[in-house]
Amino acid sequence: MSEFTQLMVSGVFTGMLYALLALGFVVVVKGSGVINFSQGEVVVLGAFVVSWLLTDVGVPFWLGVPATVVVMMVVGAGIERFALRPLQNESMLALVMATIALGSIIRGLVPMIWGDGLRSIPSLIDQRRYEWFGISIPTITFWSAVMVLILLVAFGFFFSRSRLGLAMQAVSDDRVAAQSLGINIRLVNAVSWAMAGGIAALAGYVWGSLLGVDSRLVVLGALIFPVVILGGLESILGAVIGGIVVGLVESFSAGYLNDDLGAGFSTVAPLIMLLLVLFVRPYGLFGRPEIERV
Amino acid sequence: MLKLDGVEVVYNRVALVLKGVSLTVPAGQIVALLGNNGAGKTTTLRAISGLLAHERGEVVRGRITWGDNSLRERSPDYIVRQGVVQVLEGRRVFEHLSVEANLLAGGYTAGSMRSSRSELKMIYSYFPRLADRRNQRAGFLSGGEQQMLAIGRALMAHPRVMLLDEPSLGLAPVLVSEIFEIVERLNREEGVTVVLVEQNAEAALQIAHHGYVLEDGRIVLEGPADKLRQNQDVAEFYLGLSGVGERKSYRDVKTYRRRKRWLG
Ligand SMILES: Nc1ncnc2c1ncn2[C@@H]1O[C@H](COP(=O)(O)OP(=O)(O)OP(=O)(O)O)[C@@H](O)[C@H]1O
Ligand SMILES: [Mg+2]
Repeated sequence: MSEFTQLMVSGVFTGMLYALLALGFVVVVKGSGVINFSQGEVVVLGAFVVSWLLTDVGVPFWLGVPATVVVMMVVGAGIERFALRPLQNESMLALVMATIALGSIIRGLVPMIWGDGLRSIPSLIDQRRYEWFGISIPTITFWSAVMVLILLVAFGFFFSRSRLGLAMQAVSDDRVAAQSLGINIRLVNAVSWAMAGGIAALAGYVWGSLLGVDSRLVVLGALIFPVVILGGLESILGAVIGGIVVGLVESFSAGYLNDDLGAGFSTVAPLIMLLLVLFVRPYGLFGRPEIERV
Repeated sequence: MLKLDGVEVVYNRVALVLKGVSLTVPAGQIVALLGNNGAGKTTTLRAISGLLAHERGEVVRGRITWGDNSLRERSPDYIVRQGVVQVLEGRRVFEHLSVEANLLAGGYTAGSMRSSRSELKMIYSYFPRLADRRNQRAGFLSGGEQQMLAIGRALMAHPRVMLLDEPSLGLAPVLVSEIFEIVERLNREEGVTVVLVEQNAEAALQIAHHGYVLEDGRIVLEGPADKLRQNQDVAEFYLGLSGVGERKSYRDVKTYRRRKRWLG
């Protein structure tokens, strides 16, 4: 099979994992309207917690991963309760700054707790690759992508069909109007941050398994932005599409351009693309233009 | 009966905007609350519905009761569950959600999604235009349709008192009378008590039983609707001069404030 096909398939699968990173971000925007600059750090925290549980504490996989999800949901809800709720009537800028500060705090805290060394996550799935029709995909990537798909469908249903999901969409559209209908925005905010925490746990597990766990994982946080700018800040389907586009851009530039432009180019390519997209469509490819309310 | 007794409201801890407002809204009636720009009409409604906090406003004195329940210092969701629902000025539909999703969101406190779905038919019977557009994005509706949606959405919460903030805002006269007719029907057929805030005093007093005139944070006049319509002062100040130019400039100030909040 041609190199082109291989690059494309790898790009799509990696893209699903980018979508997982972005999903946590999207859920917070959907449920609380906050642009969260700390999601990358929360993912790193999730990766450390899961690696600590699986290697240091030695709990089995089937217990360790769900336990991490629960822990990170509590962390997410805690962030909302103690860092953001006190600012709930402040400007959006104040909230955004608070998330940036939070990111820095987590970044500083993680090496204090777990040290600087590279840690690993013992994998449930062996480290081989699937070889199908001449295309090779790491098993962990494949199964993670499958999990992401299931998760995305579940979230899609949650937001469009459930009462709480609808309330979350209402809050992100117009929080005052949502409040006027008796929607408890504190509950909605807390739920969305808890969800983002749970998603970060899964993303931390997946990405930590792929890249190893150390503080350099935070670079993943920067890749959330090209994904969500492409896909729209609060669209779940958009996160998938944006993730896949970023995965493809990265995969193809690694395959075709890195030789000429240097090994690091594929890492910055998505960010260059982000700039280009912003020039053409300031609200993203699939994002919604804000309708000015007067 | 909804009752306000000497209510004072302060914004940002300094600006005293309501200076002792007392009014009574008997159950089953439509009561109009009239007044110029900045008189404090919206503030009065926010004080009742608990929506002052996010505006950094606070009720500092007075009593607000619905039946035997005090609504003061209660959360907006508690107040909605008591059956008191505000329809915000400027419609504020969920622009990115469909008409139907807007209505279902309105039913959030009233019960499950299924029970909310079963009530859609009743809403559509009052607002047939919404039925035709049920899958359309609310942001793309016309102003009049959005106002209908805002009222329909509030109805989904099973209100016993509806606080309507300038439903006629920016609408053509035909639409204003269409919407006011529906409000009157809701009052008559569903027994919904209505507090109707309006600058369009003429239209409001046609369907209201009773009216209050608010000026600079104080009630300056009150009476049965037909009496108020004959009152010389009301005729001059609120029926005759609508102050279109003045209003526009005030709106601009408001928009500016909203943008400023976003930027900090
Ligand atoms: N969030 C706020 N912060 C500070 N002051 C406010 C706020 N909202 C309203 N005010 C002030 O309170 C006063 C009353 O405003 P309010 O919105 O209640 O008037 P209104 O009668 O509804 O006017 P309009 O007809 O223009 O809607 C005005 O002077 C206004 O500037
Ligand atoms: Mg007003």
